[in-house]
Amino acid sequence: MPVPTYDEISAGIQMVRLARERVGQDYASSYAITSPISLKDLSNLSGGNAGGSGNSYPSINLLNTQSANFYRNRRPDGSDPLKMSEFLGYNQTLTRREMRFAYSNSSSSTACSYTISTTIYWHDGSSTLPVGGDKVYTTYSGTTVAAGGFYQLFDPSSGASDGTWVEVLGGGGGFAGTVSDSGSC
Amino acid sequence: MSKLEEKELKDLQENRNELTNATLNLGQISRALKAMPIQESTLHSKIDELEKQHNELTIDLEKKYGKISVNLQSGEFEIIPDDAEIVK
Repeated sequence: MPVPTYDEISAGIQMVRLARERVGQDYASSYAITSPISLKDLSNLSGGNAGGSGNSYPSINLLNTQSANFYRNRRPDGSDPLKMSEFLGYNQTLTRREMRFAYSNSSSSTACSYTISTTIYWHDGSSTLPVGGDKVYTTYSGTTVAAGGFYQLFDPSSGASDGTWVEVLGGGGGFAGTVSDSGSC
Repeated sequence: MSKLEEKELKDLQENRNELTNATLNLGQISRALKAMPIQESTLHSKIDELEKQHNELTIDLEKKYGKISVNLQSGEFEIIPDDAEIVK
């Protein structure tokens, strides 16, 4: 599992666990980390150990959402002040992008009339928001794809509506979960 | 005692008045600029708090109705299906 999100965490982030996540091991694993652990290195977007860490850390995975709002933020911004809380929800091995949305199975206009849901889906596209041909999943690593229907898109960083919608294909087969159409709200 | 001509005096007085007004305006702007970071920080905190509150309200609704999308004008909502396709 990655670093717990604000909603999931019951105590503070443990630095050694964060270091495990940063080297690409699981946050909950028992992988051995060499001390010391420098928050400067953990937060450095380029990684490394210039801050004196025992481990050299890989680059921050920029697929994680960066936001000024701590609720949406999943990764450090690389600037002072450095905070452990910037890592809430961080996933070093993330391969998908967060998709924030409002859903309707009936029409794009209905989806566009809804406010942002707290449910988070994930897409495999290369842009911030999914586009035609991208596939939408219900989890960051699983194989279950989003239900067919219309999704109003929201900027995962600001939470503001993008003013656009996409249609995701339902049914069975390899095209299920794929974005097939899009438009403006 | 010598005395300036009327126009010379008027020009000097007008210049002095404008200088005084400009200095006062600058002071007001400086005070406003000084207050802005505090106001900005207060608004950031307020937005964070409202986001937190929104999240809590929505989580309560999800406990009652499941995962939903809501129309804030009408109160109508639609359930986000859980039974999405599993791609193998």
